[in-house]
Parts: sequence; structure tokens; C-alpha cells
Amino acid sequence: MEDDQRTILLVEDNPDDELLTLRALEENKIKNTVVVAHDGVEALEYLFGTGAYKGRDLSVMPQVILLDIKLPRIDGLEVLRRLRADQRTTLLPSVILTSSREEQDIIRGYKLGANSYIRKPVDFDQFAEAVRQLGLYWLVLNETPKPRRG
Amino acid sequence: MGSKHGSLRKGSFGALLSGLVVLAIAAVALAGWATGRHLLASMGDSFVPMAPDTALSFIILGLSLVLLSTCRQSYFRPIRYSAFLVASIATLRLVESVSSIDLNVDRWLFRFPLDWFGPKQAGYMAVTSAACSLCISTSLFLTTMSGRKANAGDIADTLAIVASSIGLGIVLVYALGAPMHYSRTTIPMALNTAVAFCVLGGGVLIVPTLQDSKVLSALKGQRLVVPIDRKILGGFGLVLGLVLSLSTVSYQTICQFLEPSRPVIASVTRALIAPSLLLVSIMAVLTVTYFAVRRELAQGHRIEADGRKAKIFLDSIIENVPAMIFVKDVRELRFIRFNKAGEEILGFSREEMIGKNDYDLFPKEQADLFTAKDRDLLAGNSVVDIPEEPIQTKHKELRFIHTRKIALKDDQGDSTHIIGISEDITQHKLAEETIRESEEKFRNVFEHSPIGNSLTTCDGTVRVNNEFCALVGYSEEELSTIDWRDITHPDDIDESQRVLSTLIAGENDHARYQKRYIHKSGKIVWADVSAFLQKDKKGKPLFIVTSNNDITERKRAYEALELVNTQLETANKELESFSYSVSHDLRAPLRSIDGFSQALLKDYNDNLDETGKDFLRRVRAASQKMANLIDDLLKLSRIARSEMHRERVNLTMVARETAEELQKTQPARRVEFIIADGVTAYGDPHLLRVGMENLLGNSWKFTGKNPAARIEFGATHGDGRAVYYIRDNGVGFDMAYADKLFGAFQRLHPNSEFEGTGIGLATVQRIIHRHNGRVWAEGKINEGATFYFSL
Repeated sequence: MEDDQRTILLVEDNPDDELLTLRALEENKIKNTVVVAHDGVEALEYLFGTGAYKGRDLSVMPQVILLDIKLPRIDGLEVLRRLRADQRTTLLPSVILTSSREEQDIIRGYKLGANSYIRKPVDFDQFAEAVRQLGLYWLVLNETPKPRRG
Repeated sequence: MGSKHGSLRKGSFGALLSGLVVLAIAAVALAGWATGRHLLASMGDSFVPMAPDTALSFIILGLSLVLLSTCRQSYFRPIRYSAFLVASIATLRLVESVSSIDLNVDRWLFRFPLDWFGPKQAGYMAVTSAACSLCISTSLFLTTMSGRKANAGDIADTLAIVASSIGLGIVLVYALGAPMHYSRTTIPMALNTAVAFCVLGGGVLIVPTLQDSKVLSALKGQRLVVPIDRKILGGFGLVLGLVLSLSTVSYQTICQFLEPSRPVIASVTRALIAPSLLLVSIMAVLTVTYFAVRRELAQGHRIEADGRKAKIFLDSIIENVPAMIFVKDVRELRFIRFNKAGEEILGFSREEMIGKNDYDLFPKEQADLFTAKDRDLLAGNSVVDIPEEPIQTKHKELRFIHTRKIALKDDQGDSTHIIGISEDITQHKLAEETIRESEEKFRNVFEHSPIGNSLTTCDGTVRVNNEFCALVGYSEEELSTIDWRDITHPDDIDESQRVLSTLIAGENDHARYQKRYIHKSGKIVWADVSAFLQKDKKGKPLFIVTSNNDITERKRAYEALELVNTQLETANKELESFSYSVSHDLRAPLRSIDGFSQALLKDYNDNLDETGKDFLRRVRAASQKMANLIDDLLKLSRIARSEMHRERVNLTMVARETAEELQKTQPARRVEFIIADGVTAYGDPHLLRVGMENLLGNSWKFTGKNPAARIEFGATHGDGRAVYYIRDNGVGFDMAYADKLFGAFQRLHPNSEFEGTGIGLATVQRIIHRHNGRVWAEGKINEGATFYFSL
């Protein structure tokens, strides 16, 4: 796959998982820019151009957000709630990518407007396959509405 | 009206006196005949003497009257014979005078010359004397019959009046000095004879008989059915007597006057008039008597009919009064009257009762009681009231009656009958008994209940049982002076007051609440109170009963339990977050281990020899297994924590679906599923599905090496409940380890042979236990296994 302007926002606090996810993307030849936020606060700062990302060009929004649930400070579900509540981000495709398979997490995730819920398999081969399919789907197959400016 | 005894004595004395006077007159006359002193028989030189047979008749009649005056019934028969004798003599004399046949009746006693008394033919019984004699004797005869024949007494009295009136008339003729004709047939009545008839007639009239005739009662002025008879009969008899005696005198005068010139006419007149007059007078007497008596009788009948109606009316009242009425005679206390209500109460018919006394009908002790009450009554009480007496009916059933007894008395104040009126109070008594029993039951329940009871009436009276005293530590006396608020925890006073107010206001008749009492010792006693308000029929509150169950211990236990529950809840929450952490955090490192092992194998493939690569593969396999173990453990704990919703579950369908899914996992395998139709169970659908999946999955796994694998599902019965089973022809197991089958992480086969974590059957057991059911297995190595469960 070619280098792409369309970015991926990866929200992941575990550096191992971050590295493995990036590796899986790389193995699947997904060349999109990956912005990594290490907790919920950082993710929101990026999305809304605040804090460390103050002045960021908000016309560039990620093509897909890969969101872990268990995060320091603000957890993944809260991030989801806030970005769904904001007009600028309310339509952003958000995929929950997590270790948890608790029924209640899945339900809450979907209720808050997650577009997908994927459990990270322990087997890296399976994980890599999942990431490949994700990339194919959200970056190639899926059509999203043009981001609107507020 | 005088007393009956008084009039009897008076009448007896008068009659006796009359009889004696007549006897004396007749005796003097007979003495004259016997001694030849005619003055004794005639009472005067110019008077005719009393004929000897007349005198004899007087002796007989006088004696009869004396006998009659004693009122002895045994004399009645001789009196009747005597009267008959006298009547015969008189009849013979009358026949003589009418037929002119001389039977010499007058000479039977004394033979004397016809001129013994001078030129006047004398010594014959006068026709009038014969008639009077016939009247009196008939009267006497009928008097003795007055008890038997309805109107005999009336005729007797009328005849006596006639006879004495004739006598009185003759006496008057003598007093007026009227001329007399003396012949064989027309000889006048002697003066002493006339006096004797007066006396005799009066005596017969006043003689007491068994039963006063109506005529005599009228004459005596007693209030009887026909008051006018007194004048009619008395007056008529008197007038007739006078007329007859006067006409006798006058026809004798006419004859005397005609005799010289018209001897034939005179003799014819003499021969016809005397008997005609006599016949007419007798017929008149009889006619008047007949009509009088008939009127009497008609009146009597009417009164009798009225009386009968009145009797029927009274009988009907007695019969239909809805209370037992009986009448006993006083002498032997035998029943002589009994009514319908009595028959209904006692079951005896009146035929069975009448003529019997209490001892013939009732058990001795009852009869003793009844008789004693009768004696009380006769001893002088006018009414005896027996509020309750037991009485046995004919059918040996015991009833209770309320009886009032009254003594009926005659004129003398002597009791003649006992009247009893009884009311059946059995039902009433049974009801009373029931109420009494019910009260006793209530008291027993109240007193001996193991719960503290109190009863507070509206006037503030308090009753409590021992248990209540024990509950609050105060005695009943102490409690009667203590307000309930003083022994109630201050925080509970308002609530208790509110509940009691709703009770009294009638919103409820029953309330249940909990409150704290303050025991005399100061400790707090929790009570579960059930309060009940009893009202009267009009809805006015009577009293409140409270039942106080000491629940202090229970309360304490409940509080302890609540604490434990709270702790348990906290623990559960902690466990949940722990499970969450396990699920999330324990897997992350595994992913790193696996991920970087894979990275090593891929990126540094050339730098690793085969042993190194094998080690890394083993690291990856171990992390996979660890991940599976974590997942299974989480499943197990989730099953333990999930909520249960029981409903009917179609296990046949679950088994079929599971079989299909298993087939999909290994489409190449050939397994024969034999699934029974219509098997259902009552349980949580999700848990049962998980259980079935595990059991069928278990069989699927352990028949993996059998090319003709067969898995069965069905249900049988055991111990009265459904037993479900899953049977396979897999590798089976050694029964020696059967108890280890269901333990978590317990495995009977090496992983190299059959993969697995050893959690599946533990999960099944957890599910079945959550349904309070039982799961067990039977098997043999290489001969398959059967898993059973019941819910």
C-alpha cells in the first residue's frame, strides 16, 4: 500500500503493544501516518488541537482511531464519549482495540458509538491478520463523509 | 251464691224436717183409724178424714223423703221402689173413680163401716189426693233419676210444685168455709192431707240431689241459663193448683145444686167433669213442663254449642302455642294433657304420655327433679320457675327446657291440677356453651401463647400474659399503672401511636409493625407486633389485642447478616474488578511475549539455530495456553457470578444446535448424534446452553479417535425427577478417578492426546450446582462415558 495522507490515531499506553501494533501495520504494508497518543488526555488534545497539539490543523482528522479502553487519566470509553459529543469529531470512525472481552465493555463501547470492537489476540500472527483486515477495511473499503468545519 | 256444701246441708235439713212432719201427720191419722178415734184422722168434726191408704202413702213418701235428705245414692233404689208403690196405689184409686169399679182399695188396711163417720161417706181417698200422690211419687222417682236423665229433675220439680199447690188450694178452701159435696167419687181432700201435700211437695223441692235441676236452680234464684223459668214455672204451678182445687169445689157445688132436679145430668156431670178436669190439669202440667224443658234444652244446646266452640278455641290455643304445655293431676302426678309442641320437643306422642307419670317416661334422677318441683308447687307456691332442667327425649337425646309450673285450685283453695309450660332452650344453651368454650379457648391462647399478649380495653384496663411480662420485665400489676409510652423506645412512640390511631379510626382492623420496648432492666427488646382491634356490632371499638413476638435475637442476626451481605457485595465488586484486571492486564504481557518471540523468529531467523527456534516456538505455545487458561477461568467465574433467570428450556433444540456447531468445527469428522425429541428442563437458558455445549464438546473431543463415533442425548427418570444424560463411545475413563472429573484444571488425559484446559467439566458442575442439581459420570476406559445431570 502507498504512503497516504490519511492518518491513523493509535491510542495505546502500553509501549509493547504500541510497538507490536506498528509492526503489524508495517508487516501489512500500511504506510499511513500513525499518530500515537499514550493516554486519553493526549488523544483529546490531538483531536481538538489543545495542549501539546495547540494550533494543529484541525482540517486533518484521522481516517480511523484505534482506541484502547484501559488508559491512564482518561480511559478509552470516556474519550469516545467526548469525541462523539463534539460536532467536529462525532463522525470519526473509531475502533476499540483492547485486551478485554468483557460483555459490558463491548456493550458500553457500542452504546457510545464505537464503529467496531476488536479484541487483541495473544497470538501475534492472529493479531497481524486482524490489523491487516482493519487497514483494508477502514482505510480502503470504507467511505466516510467529508469532515465538516465548525 | 253460697258454697255448695252449705246449700246441701240446708236443703238436707229442710227436707228431713218436711219428711218427719209428713210422717207425724200420717201416723196420727193411722192411729185414729186404728183406735177408732176419727177426730185424729179428720182433724175436725165437720171435716172428712184422711183415708187410710192416703196415710199409708204418706208414711211411705215421708220415709222416702227422709232417706232422700241424706243424699246417699245407695238409698235411691229403695226410694224408687217406694215411689212406684205409692204411684200404683194412687193410680188404682184414680182408675176406681174414673171407671166406677170399686176395688175397695181404701178398705185393704182397715175394714170399717161406711157410716163410721156419720152420713157423709168417708174413708175414701179423694181423687185430688190420688192425683197429688201420683205427682209426688213420680216427682220422688224422677228426683233419684236426676243425675241420669237430662230433664228428669225439671219434671220432678214441676210435679212437686203442682202437688203442693193443690194442697195449698185445698187448705184455702177449708179456710174459706166453702161447702163440700161428699160422695164416693167426689169426696174432697181431707185438711190434714192437704197440709201434708204442701209440706211434702216443699220437701221434695228443696231436697238436695246429685245435680240441681235447672228448675230448682231457677227457683233458688241461682244465675242459670233461663232466669224467667223461676216465675213462669213457680207461678204457673201455683195458679194451676189453686184453679184445680177451686174448680173441684165449684163443680161439687154445681152438682149439689143440680142433683134434686136433674139427677141424670148431675151424675153425668159428676162422672165426666172430675176425670176431665184431672186429665186437663195433668196434660197442662205436662205440656208446660215439656215446653219449659224443651226451651231449657234448646238453650242448653246453644250454650253447649257455644261452650264446645269455646272449648275448641281454647284447645286450639293450647295445641298451637309454640311451647310445651302439659297438665298433671295432683294425686298421682300423671299427665292428663299434652300439646303438639311437647310432642315435638320430647318425641313422645300424647298417647304415650297421657296416664303416665315422670318415672314411667324419664330417667330416675330427672323424674326425681320434676316430681320434687311438683311437690314444691303443691306445698304452697303458686308458681314454680325452673330456668333450666335437663330432659331426655324418647330417642334418648338430652334437651334442656325452661319450665314454669302453676297449680290450678278449686273453690276451697285445694290444688286440683298442675299446669306446666316449657320452652326448649337446648339451642340457646348450646350457643352459650359454644360461647363459653370459645371464650375459654381465647383465654387459653392468650394466656399460654409463647408470644407476649396484651389486651387493652377502651377504658384503659390492661391485661397481659406471663410472656408479655417476661418480655418487658414488669408484672401485670406494675403494667396496669404504666403507660405504654413509658416502656416504648422514644423513637418508636410516634409510629406506634400512628398505627394504633389508624386502628381506632377504623381504617384497618389489623396491623403489623415492629417496635422497641425498653425492658425494666434498661435493655432494648425488639418486638414484632400484631395488633387487632375488636369492635362491637355497631362498630364501636371494644379492645385492642396485641401479640408481641420477641425478635431481638432475630433482629441481631439480621443485622449481622446484612453486614455480611454488604461485605459480600463489596467482595464481589472487588472480584469483578480483579477479573477485569486479569482479563485485561494479564493478557498484555502474554501478547508481548508472543509478539516479540514471533519478531525474533522472523527478524533474526538467520541468527538462530533450530534449537533456538524450537525454544521460541515453545515460548509462543506456552503463552497461547496461558491465554486460553485465563479465558476459561474468566468464563468459570462469570458463570458463578451471572444472574439466574429460570424458564423452560428446550434441551433437544440446544443439543441439535450444539451438534451442528461442533460438526462445523471439524467438518471432516463423522459422528452419529442420537438426540431424543422433546426434552425440556427448567433453568437458566444461557447457563444450560453453556453446560450442554461443554458436555457435548467433551464427548466430541473424546470420541475424536473413534471412526464410528456416536453421541447420545436423552432423559430418563430417577428419584422422581428428570435425569438427563449424554453418552458417547469415546475413550471413556477409569471410574477410580470419577471424583476428579469435575475439578478445575483436573485432567485424566495428557494434553498431547486431547487438548484442553480442564475447565469444561468444572464449568458444567458449577452450572448444575447453581441450579441446585447434581451431575455425575459413569465410564470405563475405551468403552465410552455417560454424563448424567438432574436439576
